[in-house]
Amino acid sequence: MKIVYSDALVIGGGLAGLRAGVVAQSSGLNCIVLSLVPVKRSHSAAAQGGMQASVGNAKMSQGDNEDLHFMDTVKGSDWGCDQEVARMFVNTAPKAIRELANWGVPWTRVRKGSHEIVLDTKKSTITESDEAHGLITSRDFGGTKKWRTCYTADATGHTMLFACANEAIKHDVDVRDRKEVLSLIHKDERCYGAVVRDLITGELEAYVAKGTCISTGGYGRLYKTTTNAVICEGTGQAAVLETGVATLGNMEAVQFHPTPIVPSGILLTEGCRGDGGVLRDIDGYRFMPDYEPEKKDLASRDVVSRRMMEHIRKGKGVPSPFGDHLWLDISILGIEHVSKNLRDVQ
Amino acid sequence: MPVRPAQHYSMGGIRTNKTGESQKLKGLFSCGEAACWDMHGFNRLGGNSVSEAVVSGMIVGRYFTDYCLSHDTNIDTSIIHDAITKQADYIDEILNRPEGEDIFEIKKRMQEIMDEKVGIFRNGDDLQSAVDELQELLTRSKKASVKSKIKSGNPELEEAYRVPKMLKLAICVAHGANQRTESRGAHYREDYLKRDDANWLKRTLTAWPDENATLPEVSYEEIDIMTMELPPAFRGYGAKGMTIEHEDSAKRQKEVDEIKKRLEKEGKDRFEIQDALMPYDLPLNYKDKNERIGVGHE
Amino acid sequence: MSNNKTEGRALTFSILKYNPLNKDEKATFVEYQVTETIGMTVFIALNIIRETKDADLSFDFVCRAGICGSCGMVINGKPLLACRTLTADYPDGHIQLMPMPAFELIRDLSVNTGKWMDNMSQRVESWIHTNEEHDITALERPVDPDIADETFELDRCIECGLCVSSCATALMRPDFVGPAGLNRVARFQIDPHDNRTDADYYELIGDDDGIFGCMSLMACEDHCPKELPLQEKIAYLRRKLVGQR
Repeated sequence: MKIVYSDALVIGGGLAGLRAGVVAQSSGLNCIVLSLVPVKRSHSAAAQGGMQASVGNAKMSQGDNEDLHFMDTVKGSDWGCDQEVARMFVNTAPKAIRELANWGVPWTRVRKGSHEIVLDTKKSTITESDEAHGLITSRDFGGTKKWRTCYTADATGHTMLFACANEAIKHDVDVRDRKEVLSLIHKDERCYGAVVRDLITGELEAYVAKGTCISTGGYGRLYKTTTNAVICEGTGQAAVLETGVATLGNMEAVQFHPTPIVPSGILLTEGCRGDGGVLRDIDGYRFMPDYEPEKKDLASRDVVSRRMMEHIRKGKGVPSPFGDHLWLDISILGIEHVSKNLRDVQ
Repeated sequence: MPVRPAQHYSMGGIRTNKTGESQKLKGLFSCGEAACWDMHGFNRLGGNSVSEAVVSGMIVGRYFTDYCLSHDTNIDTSIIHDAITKQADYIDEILNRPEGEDIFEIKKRMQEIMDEKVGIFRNGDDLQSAVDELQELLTRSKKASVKSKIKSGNPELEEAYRVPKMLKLAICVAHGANQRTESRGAHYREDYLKRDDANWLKRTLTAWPDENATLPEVSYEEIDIMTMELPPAFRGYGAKGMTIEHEDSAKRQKEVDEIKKRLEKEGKDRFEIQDALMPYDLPLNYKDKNERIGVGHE
Repeated sequence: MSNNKTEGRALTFSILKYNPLNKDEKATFVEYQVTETIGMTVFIALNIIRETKDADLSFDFVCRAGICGSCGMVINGKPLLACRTLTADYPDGHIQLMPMPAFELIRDLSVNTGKWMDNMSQRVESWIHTNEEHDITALERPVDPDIADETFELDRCIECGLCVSSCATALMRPDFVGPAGLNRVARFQIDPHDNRTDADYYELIGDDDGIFGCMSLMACEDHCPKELPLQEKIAYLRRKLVGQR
């Protein structure tokens, strides 16, 4: 029977788990990170569009701060969130962005001078200040008051994940991949680690630690059509549920993204709409302003998704062998913008 | 490009307190999408997911590390042995099953049910029938057989032990959605169109104490309006009047307005006002002010 | 969506099966018939095979969208990402799948690219080296937008291993750092946050297992799914580091 002891056990080697692993290891602990797949293949890499943090460097983000990010997050949550946690988050996010810059995330930067942008299907010009030149820029995303989403073209999750994974290698975090948690070891309301299956040899091993941190991502694969990677099967939540003691929260809170491609379910990043793309129906008609006159195509995700399905139900969808769909039109952005900032969309 | 909405993100997950530690199991932490730390409530904003991943990795990672630094692993090895043996026996039991259910079929059916009945538009009838059928699937999944009997690799064996776990989660989603008779964020009930702050400003908690049960135990955690910095209000989408108000919302709003007015008059800055409304803690220097161009650290 | 015409075709997949953990087993090609659907990729076909014909077939996938780099395999003689390869591109309907060479075989089509890439990352010290402390509560250090873009271009490598499996040097020299490794060095060499000098990089890769091992056959660039300018960067690095000899 194989038992592996460590100080800190992290289960799940995506962005969150790797970042937590770096904290533990660099604090003098011996930390093991277990992952279903090589960590640089984690689903975090699929987050193309960007990371919200109120750095407020770019012209369209000026005046942004923690307070606005907090308000957007709470409103976005439909008042379901823990407001203290939201505060903790918004105050740390700019620090996270800056730390990641030091760790090598090549954030897209502000370029001084005039640039053409697309606002509400109209082209207009903004001028970036000399002072902001070279600082981290941001783009527009749904449900936000300011342009707050920092990005590296259309591969933000990828560059963030690689930076954290590289940092974990630098700190000698003991990362072991192709390992799956089957159950948690616990007694008297305390967790002591996990029983883990090696996905190559099939061997069962016990990983025993002072503390265990689960960061295995979401459970999107409960659904047939999902943007989630095939590994997002909720194995971490299930291990917790099967302790019979620990609880899961708000499992019914599941988000549907407005713009996965039909039929593959592969996501078209929110950057498409953030940068000025619009939704159109079978008649080529832009319908979102009729439903949401203020935020239009950039309303919150849940709102846009519902309005789209509502519109399809009205018979305005485009029939296809894979069911009715709508169109996402990014032609207004121009080929140069798409090939640089939305490359995977092509 | 042809597009249609599809599942994308799990706001729910392992329920933790503010430090990221489970409310029920000490020494168990969770961060990122896996957790219900709960900064997303019933809908997450675009760009807040990778942001949460890194930020919670920093904050929860710190609290987690502090826990590991101050605790020992004093556990009887017999408990570890029992835990491994239980899983080893389970794998053997699956491999030795007589020919039975096809696990791929069961999984496919679960995914169809979730799409059709626990999707963007939800209603009581569909949700109830989803819960019923998912429970049946859970029972059937325990009779799934695998063709190859080897223990290494073996993708079908993996499905055979994963799918029952996934079904439990699916039941938690469908059952929780069925109980929640309101519309909030991404949870939209065609039979309960309003956001109901009076009755539903609370988190669903699910536990599975009986391993042979086919339904979880559900309880609720109240969200206290009187400690909120931003009391519930109109979200800014669709028609107004789609909320059943909680009596505390107006009361707290009045309180918040008064505190703000008073402190502004006293010349307090936005950080001091925030602290008066809803104090919070952060480790390391994470509570420090962030510098921005033009305004410095203000 | 160019392949409506091929829908309904009978495809024949010939897949190399082998489990190194089972000493008695020999590597054999196994054939499977699959009916083609609209927009079918090799990823979709493999899942159909596993779900309906051979539950025991091993292969790796994570994102199915060309982002994670898990599903590199040799498809009719060429290393490709299975999730980005349309079955419609094979007119005779016969598709042969083999695991990528140069990596440790796990089973069937599954190879340990992760382990190889980890070794590479250690070898080239694939992280930012700096002595400067940056206060994360203060403004970030400005970076020329063009330099940031250029760094990003090379940071797009997804470590899929297609370049390595198509590289003659990598096949002959197991310790060769590979096009992916050389690209990684080029990436940190551009990044202004990294303080390493050319002499430091020479220490890491200034030998025949490094920059001087490349024979300029250019197969790496031909097969890179991210279309990284590997040859240009390798040639540039070589010119820079040759001066350190």
